[in-house]
Amino acid sequence: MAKQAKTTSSDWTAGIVAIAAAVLLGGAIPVALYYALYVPRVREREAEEVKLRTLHDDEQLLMARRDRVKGLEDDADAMRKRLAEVEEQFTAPTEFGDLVAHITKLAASNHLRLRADQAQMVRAKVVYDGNRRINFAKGLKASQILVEGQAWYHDLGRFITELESLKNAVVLVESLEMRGDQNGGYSHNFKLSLYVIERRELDAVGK
Amino acid sequence: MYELNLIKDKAMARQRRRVIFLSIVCILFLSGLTAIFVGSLYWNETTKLDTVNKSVAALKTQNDMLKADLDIREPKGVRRRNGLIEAWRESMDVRKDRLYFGPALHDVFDRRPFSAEFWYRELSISTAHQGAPGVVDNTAAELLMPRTLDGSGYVQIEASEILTKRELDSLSGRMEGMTRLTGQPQFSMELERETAGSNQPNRTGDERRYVGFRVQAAQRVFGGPQ
Repeated sequence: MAKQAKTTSSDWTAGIVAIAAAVLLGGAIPVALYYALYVPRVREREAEEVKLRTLHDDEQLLMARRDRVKGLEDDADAMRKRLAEVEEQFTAPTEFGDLVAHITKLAASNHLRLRADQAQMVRAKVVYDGNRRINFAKGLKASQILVEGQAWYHDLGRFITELESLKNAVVLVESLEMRGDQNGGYSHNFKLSLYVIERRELDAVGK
Repeated sequence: MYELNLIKDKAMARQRRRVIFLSIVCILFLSGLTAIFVGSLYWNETTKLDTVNKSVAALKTQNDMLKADLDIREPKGVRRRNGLIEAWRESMDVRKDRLYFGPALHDVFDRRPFSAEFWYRELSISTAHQGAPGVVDNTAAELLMPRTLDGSGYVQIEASEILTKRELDSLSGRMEGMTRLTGQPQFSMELERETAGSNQPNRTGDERRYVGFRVQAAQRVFGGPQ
């Protein structure tokens, strides 16, 4: 009887070992797959998702920055419009010649004439281009016009007042020299230096 | 009896092998199923990772492009806006702070001593450093600053030099237009240049006295060009 029991037990041993081996092997394969493939992939995905979240945050910051830049550009456009309104009265550089002609007419209508010693000079003019251009600190430019001759004081005063109240130009008088002329009766010799403020090229401002 | 046992043993052995075989097959089958399940999880993760990777790449490209664009536009926008503001301020200053010669010339004509005769001989109104040697040219800034005045002429002495001087001082206080342009003018008499009336215009041959005068003004401007 004991022999029979021993035989039965030894008959199962190999089988049980085989089953145990199968359990170990069968269990090891999915576990190995889980840890060797799945877990690293999950970590990789999580790392990428962190990166994606960071990029979304960056995107939000960039959107806010884009709105700010848009605001800057809108401000600049509004400022350009305001500057254009302020400078509407200034003279475009291309209109400088026309303005000299206009001032010449104004001088003639106010009886400003050449000094006696200039009267015989062929190219002498009462109003002429000073050939000088000055720059203000922030880019505004002005061109010089000189007015030289002889006139009655009231005519000269009226001429200067008319110059200073021109609607289509801003004319700044830089200096005036006036001296009584002993041979001119009530006339005075004068020399007037004017600057005509020029309109800017608005698209070039701040670039 | 022995043969019977032998047959029985064989049957039991077959039975045992069958049980063992089926157990192993079941175990391997379950293992395979589990492996497939793990594989499907892996595949799912791989797909998700691909999607996330694509999103990351697309978003990164988009952000990089936006950043590159903004890196150019932002400083340009700031420069442009600030430039326009400065330009506007400068143009406004030119229009607002400009000085007018008209009222000053009107003062020269209109403001005279109450009783004494009075003539200007010469008058010069210019920027502070105009033509001065060794001074850096800063005409643009000086155009908006008070001018200097230098003039001379003759005035009749009515009663005494003191009264005439007082009259000239009151005259300078009434020259608002000139004061705005040059600062308050100061008259000074050049008593050593006193002449008799017969040398002056409108001479009457009487004993009227005329004296040369100078008028000057130079408003001190703090923070102006050096």
